[in-house]
Amino acid sequence: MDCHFTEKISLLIDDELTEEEAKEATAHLSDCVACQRAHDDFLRLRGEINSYAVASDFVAQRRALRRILGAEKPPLWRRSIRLPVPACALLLVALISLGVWLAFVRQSMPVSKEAEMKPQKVLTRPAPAQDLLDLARFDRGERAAIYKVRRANQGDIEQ
Amino acid sequence: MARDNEEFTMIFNEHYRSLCRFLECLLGGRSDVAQEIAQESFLRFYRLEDDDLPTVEARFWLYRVARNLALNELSKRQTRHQLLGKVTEILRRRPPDPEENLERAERQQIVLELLKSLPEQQRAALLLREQEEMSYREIAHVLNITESKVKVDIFRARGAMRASWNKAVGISS
Repeated sequence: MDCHFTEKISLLIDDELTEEEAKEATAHLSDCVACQRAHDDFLRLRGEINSYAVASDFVAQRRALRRILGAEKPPLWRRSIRLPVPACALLLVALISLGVWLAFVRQSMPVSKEAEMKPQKVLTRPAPAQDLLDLARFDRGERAAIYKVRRANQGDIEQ
Repeated sequence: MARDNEEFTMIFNEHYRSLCRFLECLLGGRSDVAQEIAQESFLRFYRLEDDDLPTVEARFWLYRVARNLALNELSKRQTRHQLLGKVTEILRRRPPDPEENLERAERQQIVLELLKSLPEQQRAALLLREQEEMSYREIAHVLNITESKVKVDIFRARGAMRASWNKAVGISS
């Protein structure tokens, strides 16, 4: 036969009573045989349920973990690189400083100097190479004539 | 892709076995199905964005999802095996390991049978309390019910199990 207090015993073993209620339940427990029996039975059941063990297969567990981790590999273009926040902040500050410095240097530079620095591109037509040997003549069969002229010139020098 | 692998591995190693045990007891000893459901729950958890669920909530989230998946499985099986009944149940049982203590294996079997006789919600609440040592508040959070319902469910489950246990082992209460 159960006592009306048995529900409190269930709460007592679950530590779900206030301090006051727990004291009351404990005091009742020492006097009530039905509640003592319920208390013991509840704790025994707890032990039985807790002792239920699953077969420990660590290999299967590791395999399961690998399967889950391997199942979700994003394509290359969707992967993100994680940078620590301080590194990102430092990089940003460095970029801003560089930009400001470049702007300052450009502003402070005098116009004349700037003009000097610009390379002056003057298009000049190359002078006709009159003294140079016109190689196109070879193509027109004028080799012999050139040879003769050269021989004549050499003759002049020898004389 | 969501979670940091290192963090996920830590959570997995911490909760996988307990989740398997909870599911196995909830499903009446079907370890293969329990493992499948546990893995599915962890996969869903892995796919969640970091911002969607804080790590402290992970345990409760996992148990809630696993329990819902187990409920689906239970209703599916109920329909599928209605005609085969007990015969299939016996055939599906894992033969006791020769190294295991026979008496302990028998007791485990009794515990499973007694748990199976409870309504699912009472069973889940009792398992979360006894095996996972969750508070009534946490159990209410996982099962999405009120704390007072948890209190009643656990007490009823204990009462029913106690009566059946004493009957099974031949003790009169």
